[in-house]
Amino acid sequence: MSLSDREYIERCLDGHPEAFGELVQRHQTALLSFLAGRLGSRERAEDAAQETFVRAYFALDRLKKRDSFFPWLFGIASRVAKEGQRAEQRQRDLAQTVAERTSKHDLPDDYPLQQALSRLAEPYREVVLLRYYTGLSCAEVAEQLTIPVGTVTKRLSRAYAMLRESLRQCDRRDDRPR
Amino acid sequence: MKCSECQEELIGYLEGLLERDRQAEVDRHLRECSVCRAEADAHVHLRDRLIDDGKALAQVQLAPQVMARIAEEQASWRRRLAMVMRSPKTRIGLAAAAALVVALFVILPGPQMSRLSADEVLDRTAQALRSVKAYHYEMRTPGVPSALLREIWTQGDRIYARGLREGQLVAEFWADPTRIVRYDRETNKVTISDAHPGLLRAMGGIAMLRNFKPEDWQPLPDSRAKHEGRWYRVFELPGTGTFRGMGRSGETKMRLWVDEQKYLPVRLEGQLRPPETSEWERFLEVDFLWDEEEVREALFEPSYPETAPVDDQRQFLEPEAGQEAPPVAPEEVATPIVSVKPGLTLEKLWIHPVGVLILRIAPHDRLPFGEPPELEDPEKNPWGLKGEEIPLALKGQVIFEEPVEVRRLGAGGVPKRWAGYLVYEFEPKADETVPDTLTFRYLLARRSLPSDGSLQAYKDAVLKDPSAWHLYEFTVPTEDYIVNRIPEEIYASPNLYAEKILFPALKRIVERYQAQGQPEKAVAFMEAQGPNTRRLLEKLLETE
Repeated sequence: MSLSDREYIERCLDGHPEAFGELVQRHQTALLSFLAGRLGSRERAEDAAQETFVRAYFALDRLKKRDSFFPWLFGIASRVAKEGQRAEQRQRDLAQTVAERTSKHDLPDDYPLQQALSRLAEPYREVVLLRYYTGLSCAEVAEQLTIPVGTVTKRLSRAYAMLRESLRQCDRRDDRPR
Repeated sequence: MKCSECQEELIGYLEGLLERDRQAEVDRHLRECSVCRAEADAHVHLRDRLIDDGKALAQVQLAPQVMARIAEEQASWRRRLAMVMRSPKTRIGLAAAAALVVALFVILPGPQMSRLSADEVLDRTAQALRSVKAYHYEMRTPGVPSALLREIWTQGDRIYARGLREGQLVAEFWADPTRIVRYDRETNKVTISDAHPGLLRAMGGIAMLRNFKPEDWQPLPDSRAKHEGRWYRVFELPGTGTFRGMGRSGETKMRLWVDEQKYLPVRLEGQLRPPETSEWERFLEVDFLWDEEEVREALFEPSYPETAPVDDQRQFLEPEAGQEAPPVAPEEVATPIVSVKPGLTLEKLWIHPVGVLILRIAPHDRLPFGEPPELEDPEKNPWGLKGEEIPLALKGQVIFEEPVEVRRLGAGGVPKRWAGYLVYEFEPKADETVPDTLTFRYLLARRSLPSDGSLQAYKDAVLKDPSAWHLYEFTVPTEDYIVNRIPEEIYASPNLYAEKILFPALKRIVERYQAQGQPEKAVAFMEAQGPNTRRLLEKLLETE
């Protein structure tokens, strides 16, 4: 039987560090998607995800609301991503653009989608990541976020609209002559 | 149905969350409206794209690298450098920081790198101890000629220990929550006895490191010491109580040496001051060995020659020979739980949503039953527990996460076992759902029964001394322990008087259903119960 995030955290803090591995397993896909969208590179996303989890581990005892591990983790991920972007900016200042530096092989599988997802406001991004990247049902998402199921579907609906708009704009940019 | 309505319902429709009639309405509209159908198709396309992206990313497995990095970072100088650089107490300017980095590259590892305060060292020690999977240490009792050098591994709730005399292996020992096995190599005899998880606590104060609380420890005035080229921080835990054993007795305290590179203890010393003296002497030495490799599972499996005679002294667990264990109805079997906590094992937990809660606990130390002391110290007894408690050294309180009133109905022993039932009544919610978690908070006397078995001496020492009591708590999720039948086994307790203590609670339940105009619920509740509880309810319902 799998435990809740809170239970894994408590096990970890109780002297069972391997319980943290379960949290990594549960949230890694969602985290990777978010970081890939922010950083534009699967490789950098994996490095950033690792760094995020390691920082989360060492800060675990400071997490007061243990039911809110997921948003807390993404707070750390945002900071890690910002640090990564600043490092990337310093390199960009050497007169190379991201598009030029990043080869096709380096782009994550669906970078436009991940980029659009990473730009969503947190309440909408959260429901999409929990539903499609962590594999929870709408009812489980509602339970995790302690909101009604109706609110989950409303946020998903809004998220869909925003994602489709972002992707449409991205497609238009790609279609423009260079 | 309007298009705007249909499009609002699309997510619910695709997720299968709509009521059947509504689903059918949307179905009909989509068949008739090409605009909404295109919208639904676009939704499906995006949903599939999200799912596919999730699947692609799920191929990446980060856990092994993350856990390896965490293990590495425990001893990583880079992290300590970052901590030092960020620490406001260091106040390093940019130029000085650069110089420091250069110096560190040259002299690492070295004392200059760690200028952390005592509090910071203790915090990092607590963190390092929490990430440790297994403890490996040697234990000596100085001044006792016959004492062995004991080498011990503990992982979770299991112990493997060996005793050596003058370098020779003379005894082995395996313990876990279910039993203790001792193999005396000199006599070639094996003894098996009842589980005694409290042993962990007795083994050189290791339990205090498992539940390491930085705030309990104080740095010594000369708190940095160098030994064989390595630096250590030294801390003291004053007032750990009174020790009596091995021909000695007195007030005790603990001293701890922490390695400044790994933030792990290297040595723990127990010091003793006999009454009417001012000198402290060492009575316990623990040197931590911290195995580099994973502790092998096989270490905790008892292994002794097949020809060695085995003396099984266990007194409980199995039914007596020739007797069948009484059958248990599936409705009263909550998810099995054997959860070892400080001072006790939580064996079973039954929660009936009507408002009855029962714990079956096995205290670890052989403490006598009796009347509890009044604990005046509000820090030790912040909730003012009073009343009959069982056993003497254990006073427990059940707390739900939501403000639910809980009342203890009674307590009693489990036949032929050092275990007991604690029976509570709680105010159920209107919909009879149970809060998600409950906490069991308890005071535990930290002193075991004296070796001469003198109850009176024990009572005199412990009953009136609040410092002998320690506060613990643990929280469990309630979901797996909800039953629809009060367990029949409680009626076999010789001193719980289950019928007597449950009768008023059952009366309140029946009266509540009747006040709500739902007498049929009282009948349904009764019909789900076992014969003993049903008999009580039949009495109540006849009276009504």
